[in-house]
Amino acid sequence: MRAGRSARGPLFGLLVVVILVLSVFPVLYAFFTALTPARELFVLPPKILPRHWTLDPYGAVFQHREYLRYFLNSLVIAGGTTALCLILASLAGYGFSRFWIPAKRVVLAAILLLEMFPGVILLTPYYRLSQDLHIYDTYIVLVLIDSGLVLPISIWLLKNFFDTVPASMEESAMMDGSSRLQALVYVIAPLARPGLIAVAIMAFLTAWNEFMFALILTNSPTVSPLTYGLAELFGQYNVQRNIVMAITMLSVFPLLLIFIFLQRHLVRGIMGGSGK
Amino acid sequence: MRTRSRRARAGRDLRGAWFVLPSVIFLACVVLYPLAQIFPWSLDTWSEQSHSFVYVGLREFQRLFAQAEFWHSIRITFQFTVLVVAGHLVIAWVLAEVLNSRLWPTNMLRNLVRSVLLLPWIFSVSAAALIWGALYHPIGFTSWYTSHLLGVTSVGFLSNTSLVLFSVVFVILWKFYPLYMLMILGGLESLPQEVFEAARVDGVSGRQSFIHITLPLMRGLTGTVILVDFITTFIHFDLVWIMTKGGPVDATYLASFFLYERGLQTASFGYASAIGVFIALVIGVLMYLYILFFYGREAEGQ
Repeated sequence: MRAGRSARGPLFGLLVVVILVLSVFPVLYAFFTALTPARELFVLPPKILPRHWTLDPYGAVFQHREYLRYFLNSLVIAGGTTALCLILASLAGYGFSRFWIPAKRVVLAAILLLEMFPGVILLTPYYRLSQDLHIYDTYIVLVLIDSGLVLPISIWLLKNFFDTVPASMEESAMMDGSSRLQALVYVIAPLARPGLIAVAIMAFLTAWNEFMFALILTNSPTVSPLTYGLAELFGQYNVQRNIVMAITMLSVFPLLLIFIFLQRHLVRGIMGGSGK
Repeated sequence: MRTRSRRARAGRDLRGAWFVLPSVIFLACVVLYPLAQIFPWSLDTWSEQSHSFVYVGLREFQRLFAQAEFWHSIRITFQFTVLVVAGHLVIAWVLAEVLNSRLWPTNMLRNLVRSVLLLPWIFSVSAAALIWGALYHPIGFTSWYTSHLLGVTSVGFLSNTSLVLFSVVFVILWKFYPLYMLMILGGLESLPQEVFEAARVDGVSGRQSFIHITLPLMRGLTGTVILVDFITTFIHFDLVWIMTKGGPVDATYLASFFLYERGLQTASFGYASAIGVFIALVIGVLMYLYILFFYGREAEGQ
C-alpha cells in the first residue's frame, strides 16, 4: 500500500508535465519565434529557443500601419460589445432574479437555447439583413452580433449572481430614499462584482476573437478586426515567420493581461453552472 | 416566509418586465428574427435582377439534395465532428481528473496548472491557425521532427489528403478543450465527497468507485458536454477555413464551407438558406435525441 502510494507521486508528476508541455508548446513556440532574428529562422534542425534574442520582429509590426488600425478596430468592437452586454445583462439578470416575469422558466430556457444555435446558420440572414439595413461593413453590425452571441449566457450568469445577493440589501437602500435603479447600481452591482467581471471578460474575449462574422460582414481595413487581418497572413509567412508570430502574440497580449489578473472570476463564472 | 410574501406581492405587477424587456427585444431582433428568416427564404430563390426573393417552393432543396458534393461535405462534417467530440471527451476527462486528484502537494500549484491549461482558450482562431500553420509548415517544427522520426522525406500535415483531416482535428482539440475541461472539472468538484469517503472505508478500489459512483453521477453533465460540443463542431467554420479552405481536393470540405461558397459567395441566398435549414434540422434531431436519452430515461427511473 505504502509503496504504491510513493510510486504514484512521481508518475503523477510526470503525467502533469507531459500534459503541460503538450498544451503550452504552441504558445511557447509562438512566443520564442517572435524573439528570433530573421537569419535564424531557417536553421535546421528547427529550434525552439533563439540563439540571439531580439525584439526586432515586434518593432517591424509597428511599421505595418494597417495592423495598428486592425488592433484599434478590435478594441472598439470588443469595448462596445462589453458595454452593451453589461448593461443589458445586468438589467435582465436583476429582473429575472427579483421579479415575477410571465412564463419566466420558458423565457430563460428559450434564451439559453438561442446560445446553442447561432453560428454558420445565421450567416445568410446576417449578410442579407445587414445589406438591407445599410449596416454592412460597420462597427455597429459586429457589436450587435457579438452581443447576441454573449448575451444569453451573460443573463444566466448574472441572474445566478443576483440570486445570491439578499433582496433586503436594496430594500433598505430604497427605504432610505434611493430609486430601484440607484439601488441596483450602487448597492447590488458592487456585491455582484465577480459576476459582472466574468460577463465583461466573456464579452470582451468573444468579440476580440470573433472571426467568422467579421469575414462575411466587413471588408475594409477601417472596420475589420484584428482576427480578419491575422487570417490574411496565413500561408504567407515562410519568409517573415518571426514578424507574423510577433503580431500573433500582440493580438493575444490584451487577453493575456485580463486573463492573468481576472481569470479566477471567469473560472468561477463558468464552473458556477455545474459546480462551485 | 417573509421574503415569500414580499415576492408574492411583487408578483402581481409587471415592474420586472422593464428590466427584462430590453434584453428580450434585443435577442428577438438580433438572433431570433434573423434565424427565423432562413425558413421562408429556403423556399425562395434570390433574384439579382429584382433584388428580392422569389418563391420557388422546394426547388432549392431538390437542387441541394441532387449535389454529390453536398453529401460529401456532410460526410466529412460527421467524420470531423465525431473525431473532435471523442477527442475532447477524453482530454477533458483526463485533465479534469488530474486537476481533481488528491495527489497535488499544494492547492496553489494545482490552481496554477489549471490556469496554464486554460491558455489555448484565449487565442483567437486566427492566432491558433497562424501558430499551427507555422508548426505544420513543410519546413516547420512539427513537420521536420516528425519526418525525421519516421524516416520519410516530408510529412505534409496540410497537403496530404488522408492526413489533413486529422491535422485540423488536432488543432481544434487543442484550441477548444479548456471549456469542456472546466465543465467536467466543475462537475467532479461538486460530487458529494462523503460517498467516496464511505466507499474508501469499505475497501472499494479507486477504479470501482470511478465506475460505480463517478460515472453514473456525471452522466448528465457528460451528455451536455457531448451535445454542446457536437453542435458547435458540426457548424464549425472559421479555424478550418483559415487553415485549409476545404482542401486539398475537398478532403476537409465541411458543410459550412458548402454554405459559404455555394450559397453566399454566389449570392444564392435561397440555396444558402436551404442548407441552413438542413443544418438546423440536424441540430434539432440531436437535441431531441439528447432530451430523449438523458431526460426520458431519468423520468422513467424515478
